[in-house]
Amino acid sequence: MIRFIVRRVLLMIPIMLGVMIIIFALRAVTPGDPVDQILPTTATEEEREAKREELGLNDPLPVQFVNYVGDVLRGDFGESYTTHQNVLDEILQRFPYTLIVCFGGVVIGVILGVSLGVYSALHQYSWVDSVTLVGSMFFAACPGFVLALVLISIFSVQLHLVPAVGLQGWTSFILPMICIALASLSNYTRITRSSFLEVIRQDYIRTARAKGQTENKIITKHALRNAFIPIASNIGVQIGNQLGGALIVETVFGLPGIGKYIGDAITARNFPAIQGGVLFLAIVFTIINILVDISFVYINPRLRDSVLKNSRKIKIKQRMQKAA
Amino acid sequence: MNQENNTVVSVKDLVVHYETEEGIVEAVNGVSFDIKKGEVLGLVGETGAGKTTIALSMMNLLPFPPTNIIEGEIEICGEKILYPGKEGKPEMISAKKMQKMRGNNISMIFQDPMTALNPTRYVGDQIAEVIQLHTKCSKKEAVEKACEMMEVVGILPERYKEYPHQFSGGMKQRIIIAIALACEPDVLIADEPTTALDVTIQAQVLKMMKDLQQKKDMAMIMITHDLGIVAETCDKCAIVYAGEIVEYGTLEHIFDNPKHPYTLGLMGAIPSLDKDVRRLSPVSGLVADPMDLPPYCSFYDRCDKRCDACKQGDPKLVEIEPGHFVHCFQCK
Repeated sequence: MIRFIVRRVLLMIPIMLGVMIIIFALRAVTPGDPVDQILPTTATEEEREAKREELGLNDPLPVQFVNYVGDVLRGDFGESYTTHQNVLDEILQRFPYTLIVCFGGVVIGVILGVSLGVYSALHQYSWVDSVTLVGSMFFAACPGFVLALVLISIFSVQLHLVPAVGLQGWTSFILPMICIALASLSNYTRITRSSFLEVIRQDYIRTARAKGQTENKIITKHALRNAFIPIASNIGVQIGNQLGGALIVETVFGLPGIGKYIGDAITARNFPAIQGGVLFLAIVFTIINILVDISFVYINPRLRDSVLKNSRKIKIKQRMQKAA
Repeated sequence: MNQENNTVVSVKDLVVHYETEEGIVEAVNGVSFDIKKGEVLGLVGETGAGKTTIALSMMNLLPFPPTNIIEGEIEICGEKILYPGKEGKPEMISAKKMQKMRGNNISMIFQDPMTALNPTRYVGDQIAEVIQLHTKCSKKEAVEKACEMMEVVGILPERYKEYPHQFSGGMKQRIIIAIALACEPDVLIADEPTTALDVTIQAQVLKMMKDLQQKKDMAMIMITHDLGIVAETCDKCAIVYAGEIVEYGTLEHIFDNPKHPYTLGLMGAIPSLDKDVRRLSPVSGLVADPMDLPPYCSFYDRCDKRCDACKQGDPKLVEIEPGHFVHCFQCK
């Protein structure tokens, strides 16, 4: 198991290197001089040149890239052009908000999506099934900011249930979470429905019935876990989408998370902040997918065997010695 | 009176149709049989003859829709599973009562061991599950009993915490047999239990099933298309064709004195060691289409003894000697 985890973590290295190349290239090919953003327009050419030298902008690109990677490895994501703060500190400060919104959204989405999916599968072609299908498709097709604005106008402006924008206690997180949950709902619902429909037609479900098991327990004890395998892999991918979606949701709701941070940085051409934010999200995304991979091993015993191949060999050897 | 009590399975005039978009599939058309305690009945027939449908209706496991039970009565261990209700439509036992019977009074071994076990649960737990469902015992006792059952079917109890994919086909079938027998049912239905296994394992599994059946004095239905298996394991045999029993009798009746042209045809398709036969003679033609059964004898089109009288109507199952029934106009 440890070998498996280590292997997955080592796989992060080429992925991160690729991400850093793209992030770095982005800045290198973007027209405009970063120095313009940092220094006031009144700065002289000498001052600008000195600043360029200080930031290493005059070095050849490969040297700049190596320096960049070195800085990142030391945990130095650079200094924000606008606030002159350490970018990593700023990100870590904002990350909890994004984490709460995204994970809350995922949890709500998964719970709602899986229950709707299971219900639709059990009542295939019923009106609930059709309504669920059409409804979840509608939310998937609806752009995030439209959904956010509609939610605000209903729940904040009309009903005064939750604050519209800004951070005013835990209630501020409710609408963003719902927004993210609704966007991914159709995915979870449809995958759960089709996977569940497939599972409940399997022979082992019939075996469970032949044992005299009750229908409810057949669903919870036999069908759900098998149906969850494709759902789990989808969650990993969806979280990536939602981290990206956080940018819009946080901007609309005025939440000080990473999404808004990157959004602000883009309008201000604040390159270290953009780079740091994107890199950080990429790291989070990769770690989440490693966690999903590990959880897979627990959900699907057939995978566990290939992962634990070596320890199993040892077990068999021990058993044979015992028998001898 | 005593004889009455010995009957554990009684199926009467069972008619089951599947209503699909393409039309009505007449899967079972008036099947009746009784099985006594400790007796093994072989149901033999080609693919699509309706054998599994008969078994599933006894387990009350037919999918609704498309199934439509037209008529019939089924009684197992004195409990009426299917009985004539009002308006002529047969009624079924309540789902709750049936759940209590399945696995406890009546068990079934399914055809394909590769897919009949849940891939994400320990094999041992899958045996313990049925024990916990039907006996009032703690989880620990159920586990102990499950380990015992694993030993009975010849699998090391140390393998309790392993998954189905770690077992070979024959071993999976043993686990399934252990599940079916864990609560010592009165009736065991084995639906082609050895079709998916190779011949050497087949022999082992069959011997084990027969031994267990005799030890527990169970009534058993052996569904197969292999007459060799019937000869080895059964006491009585019913030849099924197009959802009807065409010949029914003891092993002696069927093997030594087969009467129905279809049974004769099946016998002609078995290679024999004693006779020097150049070619086996298969039953010509294809199985009657259950979507389009004729109003007369359904075997007419393939029968080599047919005559005009056969087209006059559907023959009845007639007793030609004590305990030997044939579904043919020509046998009297």
